[in-house]
Amino acid sequence: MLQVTINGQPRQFSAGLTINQALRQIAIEVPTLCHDERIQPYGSCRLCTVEVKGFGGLVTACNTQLRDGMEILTHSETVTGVRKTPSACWRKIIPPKPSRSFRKNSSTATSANTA
Amino acid sequence: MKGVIIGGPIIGMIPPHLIDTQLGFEELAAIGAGVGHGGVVAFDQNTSIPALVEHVFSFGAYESCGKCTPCRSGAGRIEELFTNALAGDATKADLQECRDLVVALKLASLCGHGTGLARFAESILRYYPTEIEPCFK
Repeated sequence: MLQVTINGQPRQFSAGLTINQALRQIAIEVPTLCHDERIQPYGSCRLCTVEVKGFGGLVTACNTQLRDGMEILTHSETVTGVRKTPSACWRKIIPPKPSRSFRKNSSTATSANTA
Repeated sequence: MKGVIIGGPIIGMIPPHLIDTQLGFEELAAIGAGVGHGGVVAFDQNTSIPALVEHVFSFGAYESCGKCTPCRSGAGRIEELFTNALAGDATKADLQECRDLVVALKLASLCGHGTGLARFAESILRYYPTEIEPCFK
């Protein structure tokens, strides 16, 4: 069993888990976007970053293996501040609503099918 | 001379008052710079620091592999903000956005490309504030 500290609380977990898997076992949720249980963790969105004492920066919970002795902070001021930045980047590039209809019977879809 | 970059461009810039820093890994890291690939680029007094930032982040955005959000989106956004600043169209809120993006690059990037861009930007904000802040009104 691995002995770790999460948000100041000592916890025990089996070996072989990612940080995210361990957090979900104790109902602590960190935000994710690129993560899906059906595929291998990718670590792209950086939303699931958590603070681990002794590491230089933040680590992605989705694809970082839980190790014995880790001290993890999931919602520190540093982490929550950093999470806002990727979110802000996406809000700038993703339009609030589609610029054209994607419905099957729309004229756009019809012309695309005949192209 | 305005400054020197050793091993850059995605590494800290060295201002004139620190030019006597010993050329060593620990010594340069202590002032926010580094050895990197060891190449030396010096900038004369005519260099525009905001234009240099735009140039470096244009390079950084182009060379980004695109995997992690802070580098993929953040580098291009910082380039855009400095393009606007050079055109006189940037606000203090834009400068704060730059600072937030630099923190995300430093702490949440996947690799040294993003963290290197952050080191460069941190050195500029630290050593050349009088050249940067007036561009953001």
